[in-house]
Amino acid sequence: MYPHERSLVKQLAGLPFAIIGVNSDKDMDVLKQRIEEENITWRSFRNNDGVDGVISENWAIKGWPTIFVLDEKGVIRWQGHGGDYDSVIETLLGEMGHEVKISHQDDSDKEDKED
Amino acid sequence: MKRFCWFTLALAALWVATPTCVSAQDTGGDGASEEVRQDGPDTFDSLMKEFSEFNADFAKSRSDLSRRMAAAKENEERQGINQEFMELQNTFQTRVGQIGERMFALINDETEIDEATKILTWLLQNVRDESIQEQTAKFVVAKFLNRSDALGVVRLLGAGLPMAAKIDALKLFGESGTTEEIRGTALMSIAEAINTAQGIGLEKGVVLSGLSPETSAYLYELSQTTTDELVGMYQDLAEKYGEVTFRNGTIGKVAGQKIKAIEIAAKLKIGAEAPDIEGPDIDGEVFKLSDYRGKVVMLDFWGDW
Repeated sequence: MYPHERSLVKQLAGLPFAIIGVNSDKDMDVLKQRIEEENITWRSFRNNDGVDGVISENWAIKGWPTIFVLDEKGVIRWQGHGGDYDSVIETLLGEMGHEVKISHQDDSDKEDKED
Repeated sequence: MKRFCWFTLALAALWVATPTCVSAQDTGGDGASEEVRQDGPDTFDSLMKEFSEFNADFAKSRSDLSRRMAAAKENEERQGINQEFMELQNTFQTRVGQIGERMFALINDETEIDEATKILTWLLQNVRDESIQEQTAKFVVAKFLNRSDALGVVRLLGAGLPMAAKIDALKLFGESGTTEEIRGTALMSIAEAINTAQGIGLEKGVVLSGLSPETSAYLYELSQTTTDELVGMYQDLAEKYGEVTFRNGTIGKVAGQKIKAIEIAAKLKIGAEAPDIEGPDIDGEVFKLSDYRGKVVMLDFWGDW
């Protein structure tokens, strides 16, 4: 997961794309350390009360992780727990006139480390 | 780290899901799983003893698999263990089905109510074989519809994966159950079954793994209930049976939560504008999701587990 997200951030740098997290961890000190270790550069809201927090309640989140892809107008264009949302991101950037092909080869060294 | 979490979750989900979803080979009656019959005619106690013996064996095999899953390093290995787990569950259900048939043979119209309650409770809690479940549901109606102590079996009818025979039985209890509690619980279970069916998100004509085409079609049919209709059912229940105990609360409370969740889900459909989020980030600085209008946003509900 982190390698995939890191890879998106890296490949789509300079394009109108952002990852926004809603984090459900309770221990902020541990989390901050993990953010450093895993080179997590994207911003996250804090879902207070962990997985029972108010943001996830308002979004009716039943499983973690859950991902939504929003277009430039803030319209939900995809939602799920994983899988092929890269192609949705490509399509949406394409709609904005940015042709891009996402591939994740160059982050493979970190994939290995994660296991 | 998170990927590992997914597989653990998948396994955890199987623990819950397979007993209700995997019963494909139940009716096969193959010779692979041997029945060990004991001397003398079956009784509830002798069958329970047989059941608890093999149940303990299977529990051990399951925990062995869990341990191997925890130690597995490669995705392929994990998938293989998942596969083994499903096969184990199939074999387990075949054995449960065999006990279930013999259990069912112990009851008839003359069976005393205490004995019938024990047997039907066991059948409702353990057997996934559809034809046994169907017969059980019919027998529950015949034996309990006019009784005021039917609440326990009615609750069990509403648990697990919905199927036509169980929902039909619940409808009868909802109409003619002898207490407000029985009627409310039965009707609430029907609404919950619709909610469950919609959660599965079945497509027309698709047969769910481990289920018969009839039950899959029935689940699809249930899932087609409109949001308005379902919200209407919950509102009705909250009004008429609001004070009746249900799960950890009352029908009124649970129905209210369901209505809220259904309304939220409707707002969060693909093509709908995302609700805004405003709040502090990890460092305590407040920002808004709508600050990112003009960009494609991947909104990730995550945790470092």
